[in-house]
Amino acid sequence: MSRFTELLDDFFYRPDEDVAGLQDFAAGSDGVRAAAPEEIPEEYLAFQLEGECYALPIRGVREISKVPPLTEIPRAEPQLLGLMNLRGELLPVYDIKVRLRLAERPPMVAGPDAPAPPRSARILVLRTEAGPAGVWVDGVVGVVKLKPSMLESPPPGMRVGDRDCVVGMGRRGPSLYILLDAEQALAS
Amino acid sequence: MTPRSKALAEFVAEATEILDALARDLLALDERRGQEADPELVNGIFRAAHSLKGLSGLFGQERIARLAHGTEDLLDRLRLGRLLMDGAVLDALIEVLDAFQALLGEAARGTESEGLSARVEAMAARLASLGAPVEVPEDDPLERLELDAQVRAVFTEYEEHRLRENVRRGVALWRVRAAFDLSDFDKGLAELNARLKPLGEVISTLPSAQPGGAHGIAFDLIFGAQVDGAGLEAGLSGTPAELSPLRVRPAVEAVTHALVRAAEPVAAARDSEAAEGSPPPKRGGGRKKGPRAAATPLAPGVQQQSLPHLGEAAPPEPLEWPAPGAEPAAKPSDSLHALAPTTATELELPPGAAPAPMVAYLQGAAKASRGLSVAPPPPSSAVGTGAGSAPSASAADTSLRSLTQTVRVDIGRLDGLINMVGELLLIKANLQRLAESARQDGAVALSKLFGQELARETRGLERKLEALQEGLLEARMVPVGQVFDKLARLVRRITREAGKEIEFVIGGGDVELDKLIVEELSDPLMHLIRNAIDHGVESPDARLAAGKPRRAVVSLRAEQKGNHVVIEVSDDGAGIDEARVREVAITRGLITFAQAQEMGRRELLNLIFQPGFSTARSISELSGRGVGLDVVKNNLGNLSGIIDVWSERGRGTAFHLTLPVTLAIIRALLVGVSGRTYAVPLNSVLEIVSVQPRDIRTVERREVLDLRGQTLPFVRLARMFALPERPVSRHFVVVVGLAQERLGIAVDELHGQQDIVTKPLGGRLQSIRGISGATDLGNRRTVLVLDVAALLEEGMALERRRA
Amino acid sequence: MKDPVNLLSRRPHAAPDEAAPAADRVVQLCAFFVGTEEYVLDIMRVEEILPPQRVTPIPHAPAFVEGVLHLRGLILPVVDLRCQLLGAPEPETPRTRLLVCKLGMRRVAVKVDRVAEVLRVRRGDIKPAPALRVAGRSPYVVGVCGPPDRLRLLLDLKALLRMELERESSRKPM
Repeated sequence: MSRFTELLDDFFYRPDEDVAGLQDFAAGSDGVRAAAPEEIPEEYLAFQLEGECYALPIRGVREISKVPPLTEIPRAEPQLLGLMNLRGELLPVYDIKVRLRLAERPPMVAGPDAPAPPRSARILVLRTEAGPAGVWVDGVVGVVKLKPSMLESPPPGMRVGDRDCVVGMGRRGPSLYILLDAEQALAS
Repeated sequence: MTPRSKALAEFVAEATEILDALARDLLALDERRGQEADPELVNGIFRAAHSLKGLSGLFGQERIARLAHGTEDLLDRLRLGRLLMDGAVLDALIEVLDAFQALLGEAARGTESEGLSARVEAMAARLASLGAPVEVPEDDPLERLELDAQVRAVFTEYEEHRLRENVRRGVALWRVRAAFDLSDFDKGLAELNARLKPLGEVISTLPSAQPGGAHGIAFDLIFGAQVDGAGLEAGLSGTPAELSPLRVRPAVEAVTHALVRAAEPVAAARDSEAAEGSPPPKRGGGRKKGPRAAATPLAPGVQQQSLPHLGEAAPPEPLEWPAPGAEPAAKPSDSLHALAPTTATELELPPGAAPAPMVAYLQGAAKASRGLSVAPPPPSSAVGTGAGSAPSASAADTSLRSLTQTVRVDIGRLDGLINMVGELLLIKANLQRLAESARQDGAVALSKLFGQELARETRGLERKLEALQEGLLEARMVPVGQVFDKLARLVRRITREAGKEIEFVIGGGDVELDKLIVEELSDPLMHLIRNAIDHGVESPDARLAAGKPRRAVVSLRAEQKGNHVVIEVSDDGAGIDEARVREVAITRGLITFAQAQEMGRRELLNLIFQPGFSTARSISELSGRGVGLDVVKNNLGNLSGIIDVWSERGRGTAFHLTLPVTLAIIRALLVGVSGRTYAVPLNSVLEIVSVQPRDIRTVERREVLDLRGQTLPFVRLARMFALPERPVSRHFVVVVGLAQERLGIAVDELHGQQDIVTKPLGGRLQSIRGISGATDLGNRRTVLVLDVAALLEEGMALERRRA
Repeated sequence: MKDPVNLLSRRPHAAPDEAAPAADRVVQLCAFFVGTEEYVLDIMRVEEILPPQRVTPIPHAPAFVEGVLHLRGLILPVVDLRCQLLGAPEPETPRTRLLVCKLGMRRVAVKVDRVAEVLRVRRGDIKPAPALRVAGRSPYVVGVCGPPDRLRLLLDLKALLRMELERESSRKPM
């Protein structure tokens, strides 16, 4: 069977696949993308989760807030960390580390026994189909512009969550960002 | 919001208001289908179409503008009497309204579907081709009206038409003259109009040629009265109005007088600009008249000359009514009102004549038995539905929610609120003064006088703030009739589709509720009514066979009961088959056979609110969307409301929805459990007792309390919420109850009462059981508000399961 | 060229990983017809689908290369798969299409008779093809998928092209 697996691997596309013998054949048709006028960079918000660097399209991020006191919600699903009051608006705050397999359990951040949040922690308020929702992140890195040519599929062996929340990778210079799909990450 | 989307939101809000008004008028017209159409309603719809045309043109909404233009044209023809209002026209207008709603929906979403555009085109074409023209009678009754020609010259075509109709119908005509001060004449005129409106129809308002004094302005209102002279005078007492009747000559004299009249104005009009010259007898001409400005240049002398003709100086004569034969169309049921201001009517009225008919467009209309209906339509209105009328618009079941988040607020209310803020500012100033003096002179702070002053200001502040709060809440209130009216239209359609015959009765539409609640009610109510029509009500034949009237009655009523509003949706249909409910519940594993034996009738019926429950044998396209009564119950629960059902086989079913009047501010009890704090709405708290652990007994594995000889089911909130339980020496038990149910909820601590503003939990948080919202306690402390109804139910269910 | 939105809206699959449940991965395949046979390519390999374009023949080009076409500044060789797989050149029909396919960082255009659809297939449902192996060379149909009445052949484009190139070079007198 492993021969079959090999063959099948070759069938599937990878940007760094082996094209021995074909380079001359397809000469003149490689990444002239930089010259193509259609290349529009998109802005992403990059943030940290357990030391790893992730990013979301910026248009899905409504705002970034410091972590306010969260209200615990009884009998809620485990990834719902609590409720936050943002200038009068009540928003749910979620943990996505468990879904991304960065942690076994969601952190305890609400309720009377919860410790104070770390200084760098932030809540990203995201726009989603089901309404605005907050996501707990360990720190915000900043806004990064990624051109389509910088995007790739996740490499093999990438630890991806159980729900395709990871949709790709963005490489810009030495930095690598794991691109997430907010809807998938927050789906219940 | 981008400027563009803000503009769009404004457009949608305004357009919605216009369409709401249009819908109301149209509904009223539809209810009186076959009868004479109230000119006020037609005019109202005309104005609405006109406004909509202008508004949508301004915002570049071309499809809406186009359709509005076509509608406006049609209505103009109607109101000028050049078109008959028949069933086809009404149906077309109803379809147009549907189209407008759909167009507005697309506008709000920013989409444009081809299907809808095609529909608009087709409708516009149809509107243009509608209607049978009215035959213009030979003799113009207006000729018989003794009204100065110059005055007549300034009427618009519409006003002339109205006047003609009034004369034709024998409505008593008056000239109401009133003079006002220049500084507030608009108020005065508005008041006068308000007084006149219930008494009849104001056909025209003209600036009077007779001056109103140095600082005044006078108006002449041409008025068609539905009451007699005495009634009119009584109605206008206190206003500066002077009445003089307008004489209408009998038809026979018409010709001679027309000749006489033709001679006069020539002399009178010498100086004037009524170069419209001698007014020839007017036909139903096509052009609008010149602006009122033509009236003003009349020399005073001219006016003086013609006044006596109008009977001002001479003693008023009773109106002579032309013999019935002279009328172009005999109206046997027309009733007549004589207009001798001092004497009672002397004319013979046809026996059994009802009060004056509304002026109508339909010629030969027989029925005129409605009362003085210039007032707003009575709360109870019947919507008759026949089978197979005009094709319904798209059967797509859209929600009845508003497209906008706006509320209409009476400007008086807003002014009141602004006043209150002004007073608050005063109090603030006082407090500042006190604080300042305390700062400067330390000894003052300790004086008793100072303390008293401070206390007084604070109390005043508290009162004003409460009043402000209340006022603002009131601004959010809207009459529940808003959603009732929308439902009425839907009912027509559903009934037709279901092939049933239904009389839909609405009551209590002016009961007010928070706008949010009213909006949230639309879907549940729609669902319940659908159910009633589809499943509750039998087919006309089945009903007859059962000895019931062919037409079923479905009623929707709202009633205010203190802090709550009860809305009843009921039908006199087949009722809920309790045996079948039990059967289904057992089959679906909702209850065991043993439990079913124990359950009372009411409990059994309430099973229909369980998720996944449906006894519809055939899930028709209309109601089988998988939305069950459990969703209705849930939705209501989110509003802190409850639903109850009563039913009897063969007799009917009634659902009672109990809702709080306002969601926003409630008085709550703050309780502590396992170190967390929750708020319990006080309106569901019956009492609070303190119990020792030993007072809690276990009966058949249920925990109960003995409360004054009665057994009270008991749950521990910590356990329910899966929180760590703390050992306590005593429990505080909050006894809650709704309708007949009671439950004791044990908590660790009581933290006092507070007025809180509840915010509902939106979207993603809907599914949290037992919590109905959250509130801000200040200090950024957000506390969850318990959903007593849900907890009650959970507590009861726990019991049932354990039993 | 596709912008990032497309990348994000697709659900790219992870490359096979022995530890991960690879069989359950759902992959997307672009299905098309050459003659009566239905073939599929990895959707990630197919960048664009074009209607027939003006193809400039190149002198001394290999027989299987029809010519080249210009696409927004790129020069793509055009391979007529119909000629390749059916053995003879076919006339174009209104449904003939050109698939712009990626080979590593380069591209070729591949002419097919008609494009059928994009399928979602569980990787585990892809079976090995009973290949007629030419000794020493990779088969260019590496697998099959789909129901028995509609089998689709997984086309390894690289293998096919390599094979053709080799055939060409062996034909030419060196």
